[in-house]
Amino acid sequence: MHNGTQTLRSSAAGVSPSETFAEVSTVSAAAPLMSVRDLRVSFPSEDGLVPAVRGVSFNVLPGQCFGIVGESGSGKSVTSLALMGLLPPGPGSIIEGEVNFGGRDLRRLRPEQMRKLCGSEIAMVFQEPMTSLNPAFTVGDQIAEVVVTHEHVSVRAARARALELLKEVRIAAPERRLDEYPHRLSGGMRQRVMIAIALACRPKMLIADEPTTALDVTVQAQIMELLRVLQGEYGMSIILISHNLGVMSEIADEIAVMYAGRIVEQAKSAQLFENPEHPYTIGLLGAIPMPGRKRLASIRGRVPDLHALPSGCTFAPRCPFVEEACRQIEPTLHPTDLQHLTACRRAPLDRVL
Amino acid sequence: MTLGGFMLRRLASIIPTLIFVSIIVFSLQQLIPGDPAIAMAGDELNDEAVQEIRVKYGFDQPFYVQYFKWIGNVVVGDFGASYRNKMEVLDLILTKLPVTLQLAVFSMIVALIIGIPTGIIAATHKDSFIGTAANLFALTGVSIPHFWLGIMLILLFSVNLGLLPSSGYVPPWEDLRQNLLSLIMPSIVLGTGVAGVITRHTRGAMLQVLSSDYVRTARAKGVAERIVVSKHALRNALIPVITLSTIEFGQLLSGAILTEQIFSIPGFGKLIVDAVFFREYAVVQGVVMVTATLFILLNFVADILYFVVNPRMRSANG
Ligand SMILES: Nc1ncnc2c1ncn2[C@@H]1O[C@H](COP(=O)(O)OP(=O)(O)OP(=O)(O)O)[C@@H](O)[C@H]1O
Ligand code: SF4
Ligand SMILES: [Mg+2]
Repeated sequence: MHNGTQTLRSSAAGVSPSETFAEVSTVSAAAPLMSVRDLRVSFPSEDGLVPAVRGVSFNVLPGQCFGIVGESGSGKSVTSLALMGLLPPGPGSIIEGEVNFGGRDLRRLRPEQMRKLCGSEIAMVFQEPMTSLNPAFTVGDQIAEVVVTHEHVSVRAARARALELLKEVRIAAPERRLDEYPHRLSGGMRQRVMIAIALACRPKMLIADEPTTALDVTVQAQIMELLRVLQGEYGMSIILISHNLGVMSEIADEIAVMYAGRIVEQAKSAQLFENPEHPYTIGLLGAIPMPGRKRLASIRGRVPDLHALPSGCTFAPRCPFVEEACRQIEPTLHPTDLQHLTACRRAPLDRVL
Repeated sequence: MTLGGFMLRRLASIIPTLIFVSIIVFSLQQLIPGDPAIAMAGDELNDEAVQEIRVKYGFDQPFYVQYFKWIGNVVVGDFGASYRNKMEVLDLILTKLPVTLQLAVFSMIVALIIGIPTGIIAATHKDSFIGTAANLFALTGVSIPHFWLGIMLILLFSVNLGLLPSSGYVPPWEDLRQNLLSLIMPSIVLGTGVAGVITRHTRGAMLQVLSSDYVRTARAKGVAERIVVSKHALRNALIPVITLSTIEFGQLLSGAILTEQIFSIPGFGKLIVDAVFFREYAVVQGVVMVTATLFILLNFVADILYFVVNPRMRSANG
């Protein structure tokens, strides 16, 4: 299930369970490319603030694929949009925390500086391939634009690069696509174009927010395979967001599980699949059959309303292991095993199970 | 679909529309109170004269006979003649049309120059004082009555400052300078009204487009905000604004009556008011028919523009 490259790539250094939360908010110790610290996002609404992301911290190492999973509404997209500075500006959203990238805090950059990074060093592929391309411009123009924006090249050279990129994302008949408008392309092809745009300036980091959710099952596998191959070719870091653990298992080195705006469990991919600690992760895993382990019941109930989060552990209303103390204070992410963080007061659950 | 094919299909649908319009025009005509024959008889008001006129102009015949006679002539460009000055209706229209057309074009230019930038600013600064000011400006534009703004402009620029002619119209081939001067105030009066409508629609379309996924993509690409607005957003937001503008232009052609009266401009507005007043069936029908045809042609042009700026239309099948 796990490919060999994953073990090769992981630059794991031991983190003792006794280290404090701040120091071990990642499970690996190499110098991270991106380091997110206590990211918080809330949206003002008529019924008060909606806390969509409530203190998320993680590190992404160079060349690493960092996965974020969680049910719909857990704050995955909001987290990724916050990293890119793409949330509604002004009074539309309230963002706190740090996003360190290559030694700079992106949240403190001036818009002009942030603009220079976006599309060149950090790029993003969105959840909605059907609507993410501009209907009024050709595919070639839209790819060439990002090249012209960040590199001092002629329009002609940018166009040549666009064609090259279309070939790299293995689109059929790339020469013809160059002058076509997005509406002529299928969802899978549009997502390939989005990937071409994202890769155009050879970014150090690619944020892929559910790049396959909107696509047919067969196309999903193709796009994931493409991302895996391209990561190898480009050597970039990827933050891969999905609510499908099966997709994750094939590509992510490390996985964070999000629930109601927080990371509730984080570990190396293999560790998470073999030894999940948080009842929510165990529930999610129940949805994909794993060899050698008996299927666990899938999670009953629904994600909590962000307007009225339950007190204490936000998972308590759905948790089969809930006890009275769970409802008192919200558990924080703490080491429950080697390179393994869990936000559950009863973890590790081995003794309970 | 090619542009040619698209144009042919749209042209084909114009003919039944025109027939329908002609029936409406002719029928509504019957609703104008008063007997045209009596009006035409003028001073020699006696039964025989009136009867003679009825027979001469076919008013005594059944409605459908009158209609077919009229439409048969219209098709070959004969709209009849005005009984007052004996001029051919077509000639009458052709002398008035350029005046109204010029006024409408100028007003539209004023409207677009004011309306589109104001709409963009209202959308991009929606949360600040500037956006509120832009909105207020648009609202003022639509709500100020034409006659009041017209009179105020005349008082200021003609009476007090003596910069612009207060009324009248000089054809451009007689004196271009005078022609332009005479149209400045009427164009502003008409244009600001339309500008308000265009601002509102540009703002709405821009707000929608600015929160679209593809604008988010443009921002993620690191495209400068100025280009995001002027290229990625505006190109798409203008599609509905183009349609609106052509409709507004049609309104300008037929709806300038009041403004033409204020500035004594001898255009369509004046023609139709006089014609209704004197029960000149032929003239009223002719003017309305020509206006309606222009309106339909404008819609045709709007569709073509829409087709050209909107690549999605080009591959719509069927
Ligand atoms: N612009 C916004 N204004 C107000 N609320 C928002 C906004 N964007 C997101 N939210 C809310 O934030 C919460 C988290 O949304 P988010 O899109 O991050 O979920 P997600 O984990 O990406 O889910 P999915 O798997 O469906 O994509 C949701 O409750 C959503 O309604
Ligand atoms: S803290 Fe309690 S309620 Fe929350 S996940 Fe753990 S066992 Fe369940
Ligand atoms: Mg999402």
